[in-house]
Amino acid sequence: MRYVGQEHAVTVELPGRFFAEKDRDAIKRRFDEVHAIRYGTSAPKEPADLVSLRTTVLGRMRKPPRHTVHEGKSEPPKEALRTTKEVFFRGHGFMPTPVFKRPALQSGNCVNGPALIEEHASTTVVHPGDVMTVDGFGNLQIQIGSDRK
Amino acid sequence: MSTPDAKAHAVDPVTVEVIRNGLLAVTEEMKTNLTRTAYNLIIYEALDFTVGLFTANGDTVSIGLGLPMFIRGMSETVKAKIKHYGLDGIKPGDILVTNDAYTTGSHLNHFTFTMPVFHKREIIAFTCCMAHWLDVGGTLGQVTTDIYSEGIQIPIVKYQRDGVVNQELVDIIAMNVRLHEKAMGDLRAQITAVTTGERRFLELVERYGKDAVLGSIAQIMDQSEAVARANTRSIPDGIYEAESFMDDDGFEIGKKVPIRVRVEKRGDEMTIDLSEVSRQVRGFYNSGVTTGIACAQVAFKCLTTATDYPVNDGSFRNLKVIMPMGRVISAERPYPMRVWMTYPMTVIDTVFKALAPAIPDRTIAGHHADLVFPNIHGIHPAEGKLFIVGIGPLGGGWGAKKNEDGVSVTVCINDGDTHNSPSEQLEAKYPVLVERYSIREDSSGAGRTRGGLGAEMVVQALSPFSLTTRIDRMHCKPWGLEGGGEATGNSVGIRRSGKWEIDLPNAKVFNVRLGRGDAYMMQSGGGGGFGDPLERDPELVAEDVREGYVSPAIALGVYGVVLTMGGEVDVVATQARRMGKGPVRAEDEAFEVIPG
Repeated sequence: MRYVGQEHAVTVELPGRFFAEKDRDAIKRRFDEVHAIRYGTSAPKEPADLVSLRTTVLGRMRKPPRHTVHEGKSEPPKEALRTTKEVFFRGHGFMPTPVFKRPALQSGNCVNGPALIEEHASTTVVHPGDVMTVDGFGNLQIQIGSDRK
Repeated sequence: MSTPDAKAHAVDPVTVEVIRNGLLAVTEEMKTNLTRTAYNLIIYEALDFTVGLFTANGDTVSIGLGLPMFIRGMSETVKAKIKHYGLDGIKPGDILVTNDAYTTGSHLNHFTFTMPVFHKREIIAFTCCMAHWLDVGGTLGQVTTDIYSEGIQIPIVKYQRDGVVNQELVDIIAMNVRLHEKAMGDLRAQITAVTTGERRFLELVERYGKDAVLGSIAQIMDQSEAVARANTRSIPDGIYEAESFMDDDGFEIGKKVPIRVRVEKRGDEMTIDLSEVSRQVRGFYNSGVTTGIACAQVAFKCLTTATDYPVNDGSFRNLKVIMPMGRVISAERPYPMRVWMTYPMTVIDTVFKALAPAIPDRTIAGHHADLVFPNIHGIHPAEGKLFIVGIGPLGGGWGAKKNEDGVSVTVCINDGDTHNSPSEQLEAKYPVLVERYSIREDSSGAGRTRGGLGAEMVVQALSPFSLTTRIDRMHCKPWGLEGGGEATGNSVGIRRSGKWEIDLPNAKVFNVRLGRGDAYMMQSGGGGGFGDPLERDPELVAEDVREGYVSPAIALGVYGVVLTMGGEVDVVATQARRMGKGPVRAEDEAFEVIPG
């Protein structure tokens, strides 16, 4: 919550009964108190905003499944290779560089840099001289062999 | 220190260090609580404020910047308040306020609140908070010609007496400022800051005892003085002078305003004489004497104890400043002060320039030296109400140092810790579209180490608004040192009905009306270079070209670096070119631009 016009908000813990009793004044009073505790001042005459509501719920959930990838060979499967393109590396200039799709890589696959590993929201760069292997959980483990620190 | 027990100084060094950090924590928390409770973007995003902790005399103990240029103004404002009421006239539960420009040394937007810290019925310290209000009345957007056209003036008065707010005063202020809801919110945030400081300082006193805290403060100041003296001694004795210029005062376009400084260094003392800085000017570029002295102190701190200790008044005991009244940085009532912050930055750079021959490894070439901070106002289409916003500071290039390139797109020296206005915030809150915010290629001064790069921002109006810029140093560009090149200056462009107007006579436009789809462009200057550009490591030049900082044409013409199609240095060709040619300016060369 915050006073109307302020930018930053403070988190105010509100008991469920304030909502059950539709007690708006109690919500505002609790905010004034929290503001005074947090900053040493409050402005009870000023109106306030509710910026966001968060609920805490307790319960038992199913264990999330473990993510594993299929066992493969040292050579990545053909369908994992998207293309090969020219990429600039400092100290090497432009080099033909394979581009792999990360979801298609398999456990045990091994790629010598240079290479790019693409996925939905990120790209991993394997520099020339580096060696990347895929482990059983799909992690990319890169052994730095290049002179780039 | 005022209290005799503080003179004992008999505090062990471990406790002194704990208290030193405790004092910093006090001002840091004042800062945090101010920004967390503030109502306007200039405070909570741009951080245009300063908070501080002062002795019972008003000397600076710890200061949370904010604005480096306020290191003197805040302490002098506290001292003026003490003088006005006398220590006896200030009671527990009082909070004092003023925005008097000739006291703070800056513009009327800087409402400054001060709270005494009492311990057993004795004042042992003061906390103080200055913050920039969006509007304080006065002419909107135009150039002002005296202080009365710049808004409401509040002399030194009590905002709060014995814990009771002077509501009549608050009502007078509220009626005289635009956007008073925001102003009153910011006022409350400032009260939060000074009360936070009072509470935390008293906690330190309760925990370690008054004598330990005040004794530590005395020791901390003595330590700052000792380092300042030792480092001053290492500067060769002598008299050093330099001169630079401002574009104009906003009235007489083309009439340059001179800034001359004289520095005398003897033993472990330095005198900075600012008598030859221009007389006060007609336009609003004046600042008060406390800012004039701050110019010298900021430069001195940078040159002697830049990173040794945080600012306190011990740092300046071996500095004498000669600052007669009536100069552009020591203006008298009723000279206008609204853009107080611009000229002092060039004064500081000129002190660095003066000392460059003596201590080339400790100075820096000229920087863009302007906030590059356009102000716009109009009617908000969604709210149907007036909005006022400053978009910036843009950030620009800083000068190169002997062994280091200048930093790029970084806020100018007046504003130290302040930030730019994030495009996302601007677009969410105001009817603007940020079309571009980028680094300006080739804006830096060339050199063995090059200056930092300036920025370029293009902002489109989504509904009509009026634009005012008060930018200087378009023609008087940031200078290089020891053969380093000058950088580009600051400039403004306007796009109306799809047509750009970019060759304006200066970088100042007052209340230019932009319609929907029109836009303005701000360009900040770069920083000057240091040393001969032909001595710059060719690999660094190739890297600059790859990063888009330097064009291939300048790499070849100014730096003498020949690049291959792939952007690599052609070592043999570069050597031949550099041997065959002395330093050349970009304009003198017919470029053969290598593609790629």
